[in-house]
Amino acid sequence: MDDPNRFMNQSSLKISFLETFDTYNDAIFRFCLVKTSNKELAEDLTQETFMRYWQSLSDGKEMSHTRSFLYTIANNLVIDWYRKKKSASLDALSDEGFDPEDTQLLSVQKQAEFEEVLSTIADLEEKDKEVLLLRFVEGLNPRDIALMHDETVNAVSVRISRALEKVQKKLHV
Amino acid sequence: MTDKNTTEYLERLKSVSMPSSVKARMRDELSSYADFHAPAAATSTKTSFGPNYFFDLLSRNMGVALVVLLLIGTGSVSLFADRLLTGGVPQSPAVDGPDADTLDAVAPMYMEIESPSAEPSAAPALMYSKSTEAGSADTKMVPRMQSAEQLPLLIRIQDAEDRIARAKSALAQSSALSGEDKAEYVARLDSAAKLIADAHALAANGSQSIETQEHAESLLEQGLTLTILVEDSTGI
Repeated sequence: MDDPNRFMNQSSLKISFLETFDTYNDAIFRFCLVKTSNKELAEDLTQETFMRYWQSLSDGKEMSHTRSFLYTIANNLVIDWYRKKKSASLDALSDEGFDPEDTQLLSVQKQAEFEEVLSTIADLEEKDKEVLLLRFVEGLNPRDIALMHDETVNAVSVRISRALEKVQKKLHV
Repeated sequence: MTDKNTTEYLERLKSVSMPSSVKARMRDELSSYADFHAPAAATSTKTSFGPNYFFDLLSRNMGVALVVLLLIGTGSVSLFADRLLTGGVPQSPAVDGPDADTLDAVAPMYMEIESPSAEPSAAPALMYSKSTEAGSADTKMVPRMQSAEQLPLLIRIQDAEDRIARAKSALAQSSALSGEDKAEYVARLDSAAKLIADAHALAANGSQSIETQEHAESLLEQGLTLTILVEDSTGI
């Protein structure tokens, strides 16, 4: 089959790639930041995610679900990083706390809000945390999330609902 | 707290973003990375019309270039094209003027260069059928195009399946990984295998649409990426 990318020259492919970066860099960064609680690491993983994405593009692969594909790459990079470093679990890192001063991302008020939300969801299972982020922060629908996690749409919907209930309980305590 | 309030609470995370300076630096680095790792297909098919283009063409395809030169020199390009569009067989009325002899002399040469073993009346008709009126040649062309399109995808899917099998085998033999790590990586390879199996099922469907084909390509791509990430992480 003729691959459309084959007929793209280097310049147009690169423009498309950089547009994808402009569109999704914050989303991928948030994803990595919530999963690692480390700003520098999240930045590095974001960059690495887009490098891997470029490798796929330059191999002539066509991406029909770019965003899901980027999250899949980012998720695997996060897992690999923890495995390679043999560091503490994500839960342990969350217990250490998230230092908003370290992020230098936002106003003091926004940083406080972010820290509060992050601490609220810190005790959730990784997948619960992830589906909440993808559904309510990044706006992915359950079908896209199901594709990423290799689960059924129903399973993802149930997971979202249960994770939401857990957050509600924590907020009531 | 209602569901709505809870989701609004979570949506606070939307305000988190990378600083502009970091984005700009990252964009520059990715741009340089993209330049350095240029796509193979794009560079290999790149065509430039610089001052040496004509001589490059001559050196690469001397025979065809000589025929083109000859035709341009005798002013017979349009007549020759007419004959090709009708199948390369002299079907048009007799050509008046001194160019007719040249045309008859050159046409067999062209056929030999392009397709030494093909039947002169059949092959060009199929090749150029899309330029002519719709007819039986077009209907013959469709199944040939379908099989040519499906074959590379199925082969790539088969390659991916073999690759996953090799990765699993290497994982099983690896002594550098703990049992827990192996189990995790095997689970990820299973996920990749499932994506590729789905791609296989779609690609093997003879009546697939372009969207289905694209979906199969996408599934294959995701499965391959998962496999490559496992290979990279484990060094297998």
